[in-house]
Amino acid sequence: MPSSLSSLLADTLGLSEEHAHTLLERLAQAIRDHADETGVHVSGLGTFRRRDGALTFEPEDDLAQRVNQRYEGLEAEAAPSPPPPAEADDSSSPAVPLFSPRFSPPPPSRLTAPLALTALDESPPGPPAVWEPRPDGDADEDASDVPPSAPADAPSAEDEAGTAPQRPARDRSTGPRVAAAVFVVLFLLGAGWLLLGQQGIVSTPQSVVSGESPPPTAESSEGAASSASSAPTDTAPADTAAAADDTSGAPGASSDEPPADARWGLVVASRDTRTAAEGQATTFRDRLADRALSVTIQTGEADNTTRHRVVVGDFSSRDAALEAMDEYDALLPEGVWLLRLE
Amino acid sequence: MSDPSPEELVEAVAHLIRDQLEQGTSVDLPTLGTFSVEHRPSQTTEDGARLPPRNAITFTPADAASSDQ
Repeated sequence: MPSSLSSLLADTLGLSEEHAHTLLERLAQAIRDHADETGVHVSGLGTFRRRDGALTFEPEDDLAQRVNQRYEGLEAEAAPSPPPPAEADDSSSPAVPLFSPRFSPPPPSRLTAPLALTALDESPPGPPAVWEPRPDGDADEDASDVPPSAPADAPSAEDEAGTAPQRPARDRSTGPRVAAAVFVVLFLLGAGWLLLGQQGIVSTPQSVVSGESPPPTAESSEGAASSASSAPTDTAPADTAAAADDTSGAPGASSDEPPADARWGLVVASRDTRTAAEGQATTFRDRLADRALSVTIQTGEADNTTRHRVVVGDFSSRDAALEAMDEYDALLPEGVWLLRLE
Repeated sequence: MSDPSPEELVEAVAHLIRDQLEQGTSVDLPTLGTFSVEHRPSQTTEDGARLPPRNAITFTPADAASSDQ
Protein backbone atom coordinates (compact mmCIF):
# COMPACT_ATOMS: atom_id res chain seq x y z
CA MET A 1 0.00 0.00 0.00
CA PRO A 2 1.60 3.26 -1.06
CA SER A 3 2.23 5.75 1.63
CA SER A 4 0.00 8.71 1.66
CA LEU A 5 2.15 11.63 0.67
CA SER A 6 -0.59 14.02 1.73
CA SER A 7 -0.40 12.98 5.35
CA LEU A 8 3.38 12.97 5.32
CA LEU A 9 3.47 16.43 3.83
CA ALA A 10 0.90 17.61 6.31
CA ASP A 11 3.02 16.37 9.17
CA THR A 12 6.16 17.87 7.69
CA LEU A 13 4.80 21.30 6.95
CA GLY A 14 2.28 21.44 9.77
CA LEU A 15 -0.67 21.61 7.45
CA SER A 16 -3.92 19.86 7.40
CA GLU A 17 -4.02 16.76 5.31
CA GLU A 18 -6.62 18.25 3.04
CA HIS A 19 -4.56 21.36 2.52
CA ALA A 20 -1.52 19.26 1.82
CA HIS A 21 -3.49 17.21 -0.61
CA THR A 22 -4.56 20.34 -2.42
CA LEU A 23 -1.00 21.58 -2.64
CA LEU A 24 0.12 18.25 -4.02
CA GLU A 25 -2.56 18.30 -6.66
CA ARG A 26 -1.40 21.74 -7.74
CA LEU A 27 2.13 20.52 -7.91
CA ALA A 28 1.08 17.51 -9.94
CA GLN A 29 -0.92 19.69 -12.30
CA ALA A 30 2.10 21.93 -12.81
CA ILE A 31 4.23 18.95 -13.63
CA ARG A 32 1.72 17.55 -16.05
CA ASP A 33 1.32 20.90 -17.76
CA HIS A 34 5.01 21.36 -18.34
CA ALA A 35 6.01 17.81 -19.01
CA ASP A 36 6.87 18.06 -22.65
CA GLU A 37 9.67 16.49 -24.59
CA THR A 38 12.32 18.35 -22.69
CA GLY A 39 10.77 17.38 -19.36
CA VAL A 40 10.28 18.95 -16.01
CA HIS A 41 13.07 18.50 -13.54
CA VAL A 42 12.21 18.35 -9.86
CA SER A 43 15.34 18.99 -7.87
CA GLY A 44 16.31 16.08 -5.69
CA LEU A 45 13.78 13.82 -7.35
CA GLY A 46 14.09 13.49 -11.10
CA THR A 47 12.73 14.47 -14.46
CA PHE A 48 9.21 13.99 -15.75
CA ARG A 49 8.67 13.68 -19.46
CA ARG A 50 5.75 12.94 -21.67
CA ARG A 51 6.51 10.41 -24.34
CA ASP A 52 3.93 9.08 -26.72
CA GLY A 53 1.23 10.57 -24.50
CA ALA A 54 2.46 8.79 -21.40
CA LEU A 55 4.06 10.52 -18.47
CA THR A 56 7.45 9.07 -17.61
CA PHE A 57 9.82 9.68 -14.77
CA GLU A 58 13.59 9.35 -14.67
CA PRO A 59 15.06 9.59 -11.21
CA GLU A 60 18.20 11.52 -10.49
CA ASP A 61 21.33 9.47 -10.37
CA ASP A 62 21.74 10.31 -6.73
CA LEU A 63 18.30 8.95 -5.92
CA ALA A 64 18.84 5.85 -8.03
CA GLN A 65 22.07 5.18 -6.18
CA ARG A 66 20.54 5.72 -2.80
CA VAL A 67 17.96 3.02 -3.35
CA ASN A 68 20.83 0.71 -4.35
CA GLN A 69 23.07 1.27 -1.39
CA ARG A 70 23.05 -2.39 -0.53
CA TYR A 71 24.43 -3.16 -3.97
CA GLU A 72 26.83 -0.28 -4.04
CA GLY A 73 30.08 -1.10 -5.76
CA LEU A 74 28.83 -4.18 -7.51
CA GLU A 75 29.65 -4.34 -11.14
CA ALA A 76 28.84 -6.63 -13.96
CA GLU A 77 31.21 -9.49 -14.48
CA ALA A 78 31.79 -12.04 -17.15
CA ALA A 79 29.93 -15.25 -16.51
CA PRO A 80 32.43 -18.09 -16.80
CA SER A 81 29.83 -20.75 -17.29
CA PRO A 82 26.26 -21.09 -18.47
CA PRO A 83 23.68 -19.60 -16.16
CA PRO A 84 22.53 -21.88 -13.39
CA PRO A 85 19.11 -23.44 -13.54
CA ALA A 86 16.29 -21.10 -12.72
CA GLU A 87 14.91 -23.35 -10.01
CA ALA A 88 17.99 -22.92 -7.88
CA ASP A 89 17.29 -21.09 -4.69
CA ASP A 90 19.38 -19.02 -2.40
CA SER A 91 19.72 -21.84 0.07
CA SER A 92 22.07 -23.65 -2.29
CA SER A 93 24.12 -20.57 -2.95
CA PRO A 94 27.43 -20.26 -1.22
CA ALA A 95 28.12 -17.35 1.02
CA VAL A 96 30.63 -15.97 -1.46
CA PRO A 97 29.45 -12.60 -2.74
CA LEU A 98 28.54 -12.64 -6.35
CA PHE A 99 29.53 -9.19 -7.35
CA SER A 100 32.15 -8.24 -4.91
CA PRO A 101 34.46 -5.43 -5.94
CA ARG A 102 37.26 -7.95 -5.47
CA PHE A 103 36.24 -9.48 -8.75
CA SER A 104 37.97 -8.26 -11.83
CA PRO A 105 35.81 -5.80 -13.68
CA PRO A 106 34.34 -6.90 -16.97
CA PRO A 107 35.23 -5.27 -20.23
CA PRO A 108 33.75 -1.80 -20.45
CA SER A 109 31.82 -2.72 -23.55
CA ARG A 110 29.68 -5.07 -21.51
CA LEU A 111 28.56 -2.36 -19.19
CA THR A 112 25.56 -0.43 -20.08
CA ALA A 113 25.21 2.96 -18.56
CA PRO A 114 21.90 2.42 -16.78
CA LEU A 115 23.05 -0.78 -15.17
CA ALA A 116 26.55 0.12 -14.19
CA LEU A 117 26.66 0.85 -10.51
CA THR A 118 29.30 3.25 -9.39
CA ALA A 119 30.34 4.30 -5.96
CA LEU A 120 28.93 7.53 -4.74
CA ASP A 121 31.45 10.20 -4.11
CA GLU A 122 29.44 11.54 -1.24
CA SER A 123 28.60 8.20 0.18
CA PRO A 124 29.88 7.71 3.68
CA PRO A 125 32.98 5.64 4.04
CA GLY A 126 32.40 2.16 5.19
CA PRO A 127 33.20 -1.41 4.48
CA PRO A 128 33.21 -2.41 0.84
CA ALA A 129 29.82 -3.25 -0.45
CA VAL A 130 29.24 -6.94 -0.40
CA TRP A 131 26.16 -8.46 -1.80
CA GLU A 132 24.36 -10.54 0.71
CA PRO A 133 21.50 -12.91 0.13
CA ARG A 134 18.24 -11.26 0.82
CA PRO A 135 15.70 -12.68 3.20
CA ASP A 136 13.73 -15.70 2.19
CA GLY A 137 10.99 -13.58 0.77
CA ASP A 138 13.21 -12.70 -2.16
CA ALA A 139 14.28 -16.22 -2.84
CA ASP A 140 12.25 -16.59 -5.98
CA GLU A 141 13.18 -13.20 -7.19
CA ASP A 142 16.87 -13.86 -6.89
CA ALA A 143 16.83 -17.26 -8.36
CA SER A 144 19.24 -16.20 -11.05
CA ASP A 145 21.59 -14.78 -8.47
CA VAL A 146 23.08 -18.16 -8.00
CA PRO A 147 26.69 -17.76 -8.94
CA PRO A 148 27.95 -19.53 -12.01
CA SER A 149 30.40 -21.26 -9.79
CA ALA A 150 27.64 -22.88 -7.82
CA PRO A 151 28.58 -26.50 -7.27
CA ALA A 152 25.81 -27.86 -9.44
CA ASP A 153 27.94 -30.80 -10.38
CA ALA A 154 29.44 -31.23 -6.96
CA PRO A 155 29.27 -34.76 -5.63
CA SER A 156 26.10 -35.42 -3.78
CA ALA A 157 25.88 -36.77 -0.33
CA GLU A 158 25.17 -40.18 -1.75
CA ASP A 159 28.29 -40.05 -3.83
CA GLU A 160 30.31 -39.09 -0.84
CA ALA A 161 28.72 -41.89 1.11
CA GLY A 162 30.10 -44.35 -1.35
CA THR A 163 27.06 -45.18 -3.45
CA ALA A 164 28.67 -43.76 -6.52
CA PRO A 165 30.44 -46.22 -8.80
CA GLN A 166 33.75 -47.07 -7.34
CA ARG A 167 36.78 -46.63 -9.47
CA PRO A 168 39.11 -49.59 -9.46
CA ALA A 169 41.77 -48.95 -6.94
CA ARG A 170 45.29 -49.11 -8.19
CA ASP A 171 47.05 -52.21 -7.02
CA ARG A 172 50.24 -50.89 -5.63
CA SER A 173 51.55 -54.37 -4.82
CA THR A 174 51.77 -55.39 -8.47
CA GLY A 175 55.20 -53.91 -8.99
CA PRO A 176 56.92 -55.66 -6.11
CA ARG A 177 55.18 -58.88 -6.97
CA VAL A 178 56.40 -58.77 -10.54
CA ALA A 179 59.89 -57.95 -9.40
CA ALA A 180 59.82 -60.83 -6.93
CA ALA A 181 58.55 -63.19 -9.61
CA VAL A 182 61.28 -62.11 -12.00
CA PHE A 183 63.84 -62.56 -9.27
CA VAL A 184 62.58 -66.06 -8.49
CA VAL A 185 62.61 -67.03 -12.16
CA LEU A 186 66.14 -65.73 -12.58
CA PHE A 187 67.22 -67.53 -9.45
CA LEU A 188 65.73 -70.81 -10.67
CA LEU A 189 67.34 -70.37 -14.07
CA GLY A 190 70.68 -69.70 -12.46
CA ALA A 191 70.34 -72.66 -10.15
CA GLY A 192 69.33 -74.86 -13.02
CA TRP A 193 72.22 -73.63 -15.07
CA LEU A 194 74.63 -74.30 -12.24
CA LEU A 195 73.19 -77.76 -11.69
CA LEU A 196 73.31 -78.67 -15.36
CA GLY A 197 76.77 -77.23 -15.59
CA GLN A 198 77.93 -79.38 -12.73
CA GLN A 199 76.46 -82.37 -14.49
CA GLY A 200 78.31 -81.41 -17.63
CA ILE A 201 75.24 -80.94 -19.76
CA VAL A 202 75.89 -77.26 -20.32
CA SER A 203 78.73 -74.92 -19.65
CA THR A 204 79.05 -73.94 -16.04
CA PRO A 205 78.74 -70.28 -15.16
CA GLN A 206 82.38 -70.28 -14.12
CA SER A 207 83.49 -71.64 -17.47
CA VAL A 208 81.35 -69.13 -19.29
CA VAL A 209 82.85 -66.32 -17.31
CA SER A 210 86.34 -67.64 -17.88
CA GLY A 211 85.66 -68.42 -21.53
CA GLU A 212 86.05 -72.19 -21.20
CA SER A 213 83.98 -74.69 -23.12
CA PRO A 214 81.81 -77.14 -21.22
CA PRO A 215 83.46 -80.24 -19.91
CA PRO A 216 82.74 -83.30 -21.94
CA THR A 217 80.44 -85.89 -20.60
CA ALA A 218 81.27 -89.55 -20.47
CA GLU A 219 79.55 -90.09 -23.76
CA SER A 220 81.32 -87.21 -25.43
CA SER A 221 84.70 -87.53 -23.81
CA GLU A 222 86.19 -89.20 -26.78
CA GLY A 223 85.20 -86.40 -29.09
CA ALA A 224 86.33 -83.85 -26.63
CA ALA A 225 89.66 -85.50 -26.23
CA SER A 226 90.16 -85.56 -29.94
CA SER A 227 89.23 -81.96 -30.48
CA ALA A 228 90.24 -79.79 -27.60
CA SER A 229 90.85 -81.72 -24.38
CA SER A 230 90.43 -78.57 -22.42
CA ALA A 231 88.53 -80.32 -19.64
CA PRO A 232 88.46 -84.01 -20.28
CA THR A 233 87.10 -86.52 -17.86
CA ASP A 234 88.97 -89.52 -16.69
CA THR A 235 87.22 -92.34 -18.44
CA ALA A 236 90.08 -94.68 -18.97
CA PRO A 237 89.24 -98.26 -19.91
CA ALA A 238 88.56 -100.75 -17.16
CA ASP A 239 88.16 -97.99 -14.63
CA THR A 240 85.73 -95.46 -15.99
CA ALA A 241 83.95 -94.83 -12.72
CA ALA A 242 87.09 -94.30 -10.73
CA ALA A 243 88.48 -91.79 -13.14
CA ALA A 244 85.42 -89.65 -13.61
CA ASP A 245 86.69 -86.75 -11.50
CA ASP A 246 90.34 -86.86 -12.40
CA THR A 247 90.51 -83.86 -14.64
CA SER A 248 90.57 -80.75 -12.57
CA GLY A 249 94.19 -81.06 -11.68
CA ALA A 250 95.35 -81.89 -15.15
CA PRO A 251 97.53 -79.24 -16.69
CA GLY A 252 95.63 -79.61 -19.91
CA ALA A 253 92.47 -78.53 -18.20
CA SER A 254 93.87 -75.16 -17.34
CA SER A 255 92.54 -72.24 -19.23
CA ASP A 256 95.93 -70.59 -19.18
CA GLU A 257 97.85 -70.69 -22.39
CA PRO A 258 100.55 -73.33 -22.11
CA PRO A 259 104.10 -72.25 -22.68
CA ALA A 260 105.56 -72.85 -26.10
CA ASP A 261 107.94 -75.49 -24.80
CA ALA A 262 105.25 -77.46 -22.99
CA ARG A 263 105.24 -81.20 -23.31
CA TRP A 264 102.08 -83.21 -23.87
CA GLY A 265 100.98 -86.76 -23.26
CA LEU A 266 97.91 -88.91 -23.66
CA VAL A 267 96.21 -90.03 -20.49
CA VAL A 268 94.85 -93.50 -21.02
CA ALA A 269 94.01 -94.37 -17.41
CA SER A 270 93.75 -92.80 -13.98
CA ARG A 271 93.82 -94.68 -10.71
CA ASP A 272 93.71 -93.71 -7.10
CA THR A 273 96.47 -96.05 -6.15
CA ARG A 274 99.90 -96.33 -7.51
CA THR A 275 99.66 -100.07 -7.74
CA ALA A 276 96.59 -99.98 -9.87
CA ALA A 277 98.20 -97.37 -12.08
CA GLU A 278 101.26 -99.54 -12.45
CA GLY A 279 99.09 -102.41 -13.62
CA GLN A 280 97.50 -100.26 -16.27
CA ALA A 281 100.89 -98.93 -17.31
CA THR A 282 102.16 -102.42 -17.79
CA THR A 283 99.19 -103.25 -19.94
CA PHE A 284 99.76 -100.29 -22.23
CA ARG A 285 103.47 -100.87 -22.38
CA ASP A 286 102.80 -104.30 -23.69
CA ARG A 287 100.20 -103.01 -26.13
CA LEU A 288 102.45 -100.24 -27.45
CA ALA A 289 105.72 -102.11 -27.26
CA ASP A 290 106.45 -101.75 -30.93
CA ARG A 291 105.26 -98.14 -31.23
CA ALA A 292 108.17 -96.40 -29.60
CA LEU A 293 105.86 -94.63 -27.15
CA SER A 294 106.68 -94.20 -23.55
CA VAL A 295 104.25 -95.15 -20.84
CA THR A 296 104.66 -93.25 -17.57
CA ILE A 297 102.68 -92.54 -14.46
CA GLN A 298 101.94 -88.91 -13.53
CA THR A 299 100.69 -88.29 -10.02
CA GLY A 300 98.53 -85.34 -9.28
CA GLU A 301 95.74 -84.01 -7.11
CA ALA A 302 92.14 -83.94 -8.19
CA ASP A 303 89.36 -82.99 -5.81
CA ASN A 304 91.66 -83.41 -2.85
CA THR A 305 92.52 -86.93 -3.87
CA THR A 306 95.69 -88.26 -5.34
CA ARG A 307 95.31 -89.60 -8.83
CA HIS A 308 97.86 -91.68 -10.64
CA ARG A 309 97.51 -91.14 -14.36
CA VAL A 310 98.89 -93.47 -16.96
CA VAL A 311 100.33 -91.26 -19.69
CA VAL A 312 101.33 -92.47 -23.13
CA GLY A 313 103.86 -90.56 -25.14
CA ASP A 314 105.80 -87.37 -24.67
CA PHE A 315 104.99 -84.91 -27.40
CA SER A 316 106.50 -81.50 -28.01
CA SER A 317 103.24 -79.87 -28.94
CA ARG A 318 99.57 -80.21 -28.52
CA ASP A 319 99.06 -80.85 -32.21
CA ALA A 320 101.59 -83.65 -32.17
CA ALA A 321 99.76 -85.27 -29.28
CA LEU A 322 96.47 -84.97 -31.15
CA GLU A 323 98.03 -86.54 -34.25
CA ALA A 324 99.30 -89.43 -32.18
CA MET A 325 95.85 -89.84 -30.64
CA ASP A 326 94.42 -90.25 -34.10
CA GLU A 327 97.21 -92.48 -35.24
CA TYR A 328 96.97 -94.91 -32.35
CA ASP A 329 93.26 -94.67 -31.97
CA ALA A 330 92.83 -98.38 -32.35
CA LEU A 331 95.28 -99.08 -29.55
CA LEU A 332 94.03 -96.50 -27.12
CA PRO A 333 90.92 -96.76 -25.03
CA GLU A 334 87.99 -94.41 -25.25
CA GLY A 335 88.14 -91.30 -23.22
CA VAL A 336 91.78 -90.48 -23.81
CA TRP A 337 92.59 -86.86 -23.07
CA LEU A 338 95.56 -84.63 -23.41
CA LEU A 339 97.70 -83.78 -20.46
CA ARG A 340 100.37 -81.16 -20.34
CA LEU A 341 103.34 -82.71 -18.70
CA GLU A 342 105.14 -80.89 -15.96
CA MET B 1 1.17 28.02 9.44
CA SER B 2 1.11 29.87 6.15
CA ASP B 3 1.31 28.13 2.87
CA PRO B 4 4.81 27.12 1.88
CA SER B 5 6.48 28.73 -1.08
CA PRO B 6 6.63 26.71 -4.26
CA GLU B 7 10.32 26.03 -3.64
CA GLU B 8 9.62 24.87 -0.11
CA LEU B 9 6.80 22.69 -1.34
CA VAL B 10 8.90 21.06 -4.05
CA GLU B 11 11.78 20.54 -1.66
CA ALA B 12 9.54 19.00 0.97
CA VAL B 13 7.81 16.73 -1.53
CA ALA B 14 11.10 15.60 -3.04
CA HIS B 15 12.53 14.94 0.41
CA LEU B 16 9.53 12.89 1.46
CA ILE B 17 9.49 10.84 -1.73
CA ARG B 18 13.22 10.12 -1.41
CA ASP B 19 12.86 8.98 2.14
CA GLN B 20 10.05 6.63 1.28
CA LEU B 21 11.84 5.18 -1.71
CA GLU B 22 15.05 4.67 0.21
CA GLN B 23 13.05 2.64 2.69
CA GLY B 24 11.61 0.65 -0.18
CA THR B 25 8.16 2.04 0.32
CA SER B 26 5.98 3.11 -2.53
CA VAL B 27 4.57 6.60 -2.39
CA ASP B 28 1.65 8.07 -4.26
CA LEU B 29 1.60 11.60 -5.48
CA PRO B 30 -2.09 12.39 -5.98
CA THR B 31 -3.25 12.81 -9.58
CA LEU B 32 0.27 12.31 -10.86
CA GLY B 33 1.36 8.74 -10.17
CA THR B 34 2.98 6.28 -7.84
CA PHE B 35 6.68 5.94 -7.16
CA SER B 36 7.97 2.59 -6.09
CA VAL B 37 11.14 0.57 -5.86
CA GLU B 38 11.36 -2.76 -7.65
CA HIS B 39 14.10 -5.24 -7.14
CA ARG B 40 15.74 -6.55 -10.27
CA PRO B 41 17.69 -9.76 -9.73
CA SER B 42 20.99 -10.32 -11.41
CA GLN B 43 20.78 -11.16 -15.05
CA THR B 44 23.04 -12.72 -17.60
CA THR B 45 23.18 -10.93 -20.86
CA GLU B 46 23.48 -12.62 -24.22
CA ASP B 47 27.14 -11.76 -24.44
CA GLY B 48 27.83 -13.58 -21.19
CA ALA B 49 28.03 -10.64 -18.82
CA ARG B 50 26.38 -11.16 -15.48
CA LEU B 51 24.72 -8.03 -14.22
CA PRO B 52 24.44 -7.48 -10.49
CA PRO B 53 21.10 -7.22 -8.79
CA ARG B 54 19.74 -3.76 -8.29
CA ASN B 55 16.79 -1.78 -7.19
CA ALA B 56 15.03 0.26 -9.80
CA ILE B 57 12.73 3.21 -9.22
CA THR B 58 9.57 2.87 -11.20
CA PHE B 59 6.87 5.41 -11.78
CA THR B 60 3.33 4.45 -12.63
CA PRO B 61 1.43 7.44 -13.88
CA ALA B 62 -2.06 7.96 -12.76
CA ASP B 63 -4.75 7.64 -15.35
CA ALA B 64 -5.34 11.35 -15.26
CA ALA B 65 -1.65 12.04 -15.75
CA SER B 66 -1.44 9.86 -18.83
CA SER B 67 -4.61 11.05 -20.46
CA ASP B 68 -4.14 14.71 -19.63
CA GLN B 69 -2.44 16.22 -22.60
